[in-house]
Amino acid sequence: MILVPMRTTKQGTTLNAGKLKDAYKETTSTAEIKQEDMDRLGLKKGDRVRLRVGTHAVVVSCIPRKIKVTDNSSGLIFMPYGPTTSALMVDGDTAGTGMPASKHLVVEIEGPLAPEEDDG
Amino acid sequence: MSSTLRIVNGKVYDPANDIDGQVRDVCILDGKIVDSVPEDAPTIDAHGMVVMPGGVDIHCHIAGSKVNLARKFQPEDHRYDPHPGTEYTRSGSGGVVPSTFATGYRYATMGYTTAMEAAVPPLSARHVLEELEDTPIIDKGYYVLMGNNSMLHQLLEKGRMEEFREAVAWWVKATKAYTIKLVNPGADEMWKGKKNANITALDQKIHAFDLTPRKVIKALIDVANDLGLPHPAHIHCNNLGHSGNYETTLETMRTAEGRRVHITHIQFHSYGGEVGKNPVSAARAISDFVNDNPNISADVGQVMFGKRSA
Amino acid sequence: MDKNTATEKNTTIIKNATCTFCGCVCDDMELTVDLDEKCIIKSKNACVLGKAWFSEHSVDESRPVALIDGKEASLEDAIEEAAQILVNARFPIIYGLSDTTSEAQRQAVAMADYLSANIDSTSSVCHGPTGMGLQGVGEPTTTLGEVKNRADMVVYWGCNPTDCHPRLSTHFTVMPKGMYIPNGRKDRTVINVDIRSTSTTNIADLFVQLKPGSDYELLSALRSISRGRRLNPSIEEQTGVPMATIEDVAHRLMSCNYGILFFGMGLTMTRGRHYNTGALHLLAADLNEHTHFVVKPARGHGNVTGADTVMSWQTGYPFGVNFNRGYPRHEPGEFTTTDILVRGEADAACIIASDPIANFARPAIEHLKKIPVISFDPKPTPTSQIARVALTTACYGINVPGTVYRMDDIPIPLRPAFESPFPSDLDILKPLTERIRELKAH
Repeated sequence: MILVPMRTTKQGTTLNAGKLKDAYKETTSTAEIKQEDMDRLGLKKGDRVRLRVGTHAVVVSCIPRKIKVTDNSSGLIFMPYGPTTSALMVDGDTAGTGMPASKHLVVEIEGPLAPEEDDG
Repeated sequence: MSSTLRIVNGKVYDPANDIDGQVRDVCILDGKIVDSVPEDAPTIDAHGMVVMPGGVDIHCHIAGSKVNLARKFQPEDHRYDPHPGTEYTRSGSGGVVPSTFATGYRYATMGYTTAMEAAVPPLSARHVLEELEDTPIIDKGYYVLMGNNSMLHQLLEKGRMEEFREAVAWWVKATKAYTIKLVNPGADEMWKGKKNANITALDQKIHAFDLTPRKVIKALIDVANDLGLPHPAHIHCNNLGHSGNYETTLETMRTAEGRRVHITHIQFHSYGGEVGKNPVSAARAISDFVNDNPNISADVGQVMFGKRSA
Repeated sequence: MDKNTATEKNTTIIKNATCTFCGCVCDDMELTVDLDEKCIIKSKNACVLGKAWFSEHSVDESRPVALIDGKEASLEDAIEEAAQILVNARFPIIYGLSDTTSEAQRQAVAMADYLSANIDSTSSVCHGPTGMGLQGVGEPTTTLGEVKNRADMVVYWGCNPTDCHPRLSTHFTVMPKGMYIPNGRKDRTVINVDIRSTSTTNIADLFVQLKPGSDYELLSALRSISRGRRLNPSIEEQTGVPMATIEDVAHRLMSCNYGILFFGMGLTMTRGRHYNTGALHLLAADLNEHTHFVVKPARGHGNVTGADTVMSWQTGYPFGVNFNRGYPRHEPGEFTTTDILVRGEADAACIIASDPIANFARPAIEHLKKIPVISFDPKPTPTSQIARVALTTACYGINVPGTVYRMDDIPIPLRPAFESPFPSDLDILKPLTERIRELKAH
């Protein structure tokens, strides 16, 4: 699937409270996935999944996307910017522009993970 | 610079006082040139140097958002003209639009002591002040743009002249400007409000306003005179660069009705010929008018050879 | 000062305060400040992000002003240690700057100049590609006031202002009535172009969903129509947008009275980067053959525009500036911070009002962890946690006065709410620069 880091209101408000606090860590480790993809993958709201790019992986929880206007965003995962999405920006190549590949990261998704499965 | 100073041994050029290369002292007391100063006044030995009145650049573009945008456009242009720093001076870059430190140093190197940024939108004044603070050595000032101000248009349209005058005075004071600037008066409303249209005649209606450029020009010339500003309304006339525009320039000058006004970069407003065809010079008509009307001052403007930013 | 007898709080009201959380830089905040607790208890007119910004920036006076290797230190010792680190480095870098005043930014560039260092702002990982785009093709520009008063066509392309700049639409561009927009929202058309539906889509009249990585193609298609060309039907497959929609959008853009294209990371962070932003700027330029059309990047931080602005006037270049040779040079990819770190070139870093450890690409973070870092931040962050010298600073806009630049380059003064016992970025940068100059003179 394709991971698209983005900014959200909740990320902005929890950022202000403090980046080392739980609320920020939680919001920046929550992936939003279209309901039909979640159904296809057998995922429920709050399930933990592993997102992998090459040899690097993170474990995040997933929730269905809440949208008012229907779209065709199958195959896309949305997650607020933060240390978790940074961990998956494994390619530091900026193509000579200064800007690393920050959106449209191709990830493998694995889950739901059992509660005792650890990160990485 | 100390306000009391004696400069000795320099070759002095002072055209206003008919001094043409004479080696003599120049004395300064409390910031004014005087005949003599006390023996113990600080002294500069200017042996081998020229001592001359500092140049005044009456109209330049060295600070503010549009100038800075021009800086951003051409990094390759800056690269050909680096301005190295020293232990005491900041570095920068040159080219068509130098960075601020380079601007100050280079003006001073050329013998200028004053440069006036000629076009500052009121909202940008704070930015201009920051840039000028980073423009070292020379004295600086600027002119605030008033000729395309929608709120002033509204007051003028309704004939609320006392409020118009108060508003202009407030803007000049709040922005710390030296005087009022007009650029292509009335045209911004046409450009922004009427799909990039322009003003071509002084008696043309300014889009949605019951106004003409002539009315705007007259009102601002009057206010600048009434407020006793040290430099009058500084006008970049309509129809810049178009063949036949000398008529617009003459009409703009006539609008002053004998009151002080300054017409800027007047050479670009002195063209004869037909619109759409190559211009011919109408400089004689313009310079005769300026010479016959002592209320009018003008600067010629400068053709920039080589690269430009637009 | 009011003594509120009902609650026995010692409060004051600050009017027309400035919020610096995002690039809207709203300057109509009314803050109620508890002077005893040194916190803001109410922020009238602030959006949800602004409210969090104001309420969460109280001052924890128990925090040390400085840590060196995790141990409490005096400010003087920390400045000395920082100066030694930077002067002894062969390739020191300065990064961040988007959440501090222009006065501090000016001092940071001075420090980089005297240090012959590299200096870069968060622009390089945000709207840097926008700056690169306009270097190639120019920029038809405007201010938010003009948009409020004139724009009957507002396009949000690859950005989600409803979540990230909540008052952009409500206060400036969509909802308000303006001089030539007497009916406010009803007089405007809003088009949202994105790879997915967002909160911004909810306020749009038309949603154009395109395939990820096809912005350049769609922008080029719109340009083609505005220049009277016909499109190859393959554009539908390339962009995922039906031909009828592309033609409809093009004609709406061409026939409006005054249009604006706002855009964001959807263009700068995806395939094509500055080609995308260049294409968008060129679309606006082309549309000026038909009507008046402008562009504006939706800037994220309160004073990232200031960082570009200050660097441009002081050096000639907006970001990614290197002083190694004693004069500024600029080259994205060469002097931008991600690249320098990924290549392992920097051997010391001064991070001012930014948190790269939380946001950078992984290889850049790994190198940053290996070199001595000096951090300036009002709060603990992942970057301050790994810093050799971590400085606690007062927060701009909340404690520190100065100037910031809104996303449309308008300078706005700050009206701080209460004083902080901690130094401002400028309070530290000035003596740090002086010490660096002393050390370099020997």
